Amino acid sequence: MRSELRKLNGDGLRKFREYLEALRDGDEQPYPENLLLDERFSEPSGLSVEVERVPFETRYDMGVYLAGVFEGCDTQLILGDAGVWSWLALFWFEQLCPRDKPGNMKPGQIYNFILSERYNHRPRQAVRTTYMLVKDYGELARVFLCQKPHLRGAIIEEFAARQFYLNCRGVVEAANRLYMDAGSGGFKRGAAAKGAGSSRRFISFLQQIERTYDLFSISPETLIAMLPAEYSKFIPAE
Amino acid sequence: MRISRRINQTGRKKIPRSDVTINVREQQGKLVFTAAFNLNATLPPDGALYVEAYNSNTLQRFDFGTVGFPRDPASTLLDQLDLSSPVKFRVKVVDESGHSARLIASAEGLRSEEDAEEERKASLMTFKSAPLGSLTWKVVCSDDEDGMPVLYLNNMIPAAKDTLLLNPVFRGLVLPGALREVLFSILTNLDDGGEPAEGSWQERWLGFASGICPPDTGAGMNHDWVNGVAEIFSDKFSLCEKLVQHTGCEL
Repeated sequence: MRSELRKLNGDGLRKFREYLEALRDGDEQPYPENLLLDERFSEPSGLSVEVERVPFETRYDMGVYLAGVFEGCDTQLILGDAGVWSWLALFWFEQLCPRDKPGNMKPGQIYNFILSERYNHRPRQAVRTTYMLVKDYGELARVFLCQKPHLRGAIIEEFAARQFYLNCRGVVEAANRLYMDAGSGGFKRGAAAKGAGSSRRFISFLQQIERTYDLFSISPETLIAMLPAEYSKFIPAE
Repeated sequence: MRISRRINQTGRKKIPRSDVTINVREQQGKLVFTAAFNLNATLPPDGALYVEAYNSNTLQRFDFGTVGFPRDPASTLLDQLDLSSPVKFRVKVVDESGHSARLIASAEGLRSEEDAEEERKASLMTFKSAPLGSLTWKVVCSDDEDGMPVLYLNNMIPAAKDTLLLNPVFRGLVLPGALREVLFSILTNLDDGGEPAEGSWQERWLGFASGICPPDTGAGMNHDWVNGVAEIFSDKFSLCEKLVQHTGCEL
């Protein structure tokens, strides 16, 4: 399916929310495809772009696709628009929604799909954050987005709780060097766990040093050089 | 307990909000900002000066030169930010000698003068501490349409403003009375059958109160109505129940 990019209006967002809540309650509802194009529930986005329902191997691939679609567009017009990002989450819902073992759709949190007003939930919207990370960091974003589209990824979850770190290139690059396994295209073993040197520990480390150092301008080399011994297994060899 | 986050072990200084003035305006459909600084003379003149504009996990950083020689960047266009809610700013002074990136001073959560003014106008009441002798609190209502009521708390009360705003005992015992005083003041000062000026604080207050307790169409806004507003306000926020809960005893 190919469509002009649209956005859900108030009624569309409400219907989408009802659908998500029904799925969460175990009430399998038919997918509300009509919300995407029905003028009662959606309207043009204001950007002249089209999107296609293509299969994505990873969320990174989705981000690359969107970066291409929005190339040359003034995306500031839609950055804060819940209708647009929620529409995209609905458009690709089949790929984005987790399933339980019998194969039923289990969406998890509503804010993973409908862009929340709450600042601490906004980074968890599946499509918007994916696009923004790839737009800002290109390949470096893989460490956050290397999993299947329906999986949020443990490392991005850790970073989403401290949004400022996602704005710091040195931090993102350091995370990439520490945790990305270039060979497999996934995380290094232990990166997403809770143990020594893990991404969770890295966040705690950043919280301790951010009062002393300007994380926005710190280089990845300086940051990695400051890490204690527990990170030694993740620090790449020279 | 992570004590290190509460102790400034680095000598990083806090830049007072009053040392920075930020204004935002529209320019050809986009937002731009200006920043003016009156920084403490103890800050090192070669400290790099940055302003970060941020909102909802979007951020733009602008280089303003150094503390000793501040200069405006070529562009202060806010074109990469989510503008669905007010933009905030932070100012940083960074020691960039030897690639250290050490933070020397910072100010967080700054708002533009325009947003601060909008927020002030949207408020219904200001809270201040003042010497009041033995009086614990009083309300002063301005005749000025642009002013707004001020609830003064005795400055002998430790952390009076924070106490009022967070403590259920204070809220329960003070807010309904303050609300009644403001409304009585408005009604007393309006001419018979008069209406408050459009956009005035009096109009905002009457609108707020009417939302809580619509006045009787026959009697209108009178003494009984004001008392009704206070009762429903107290009920809506469970002021007495929370007071009792907080004190931990049944009255």
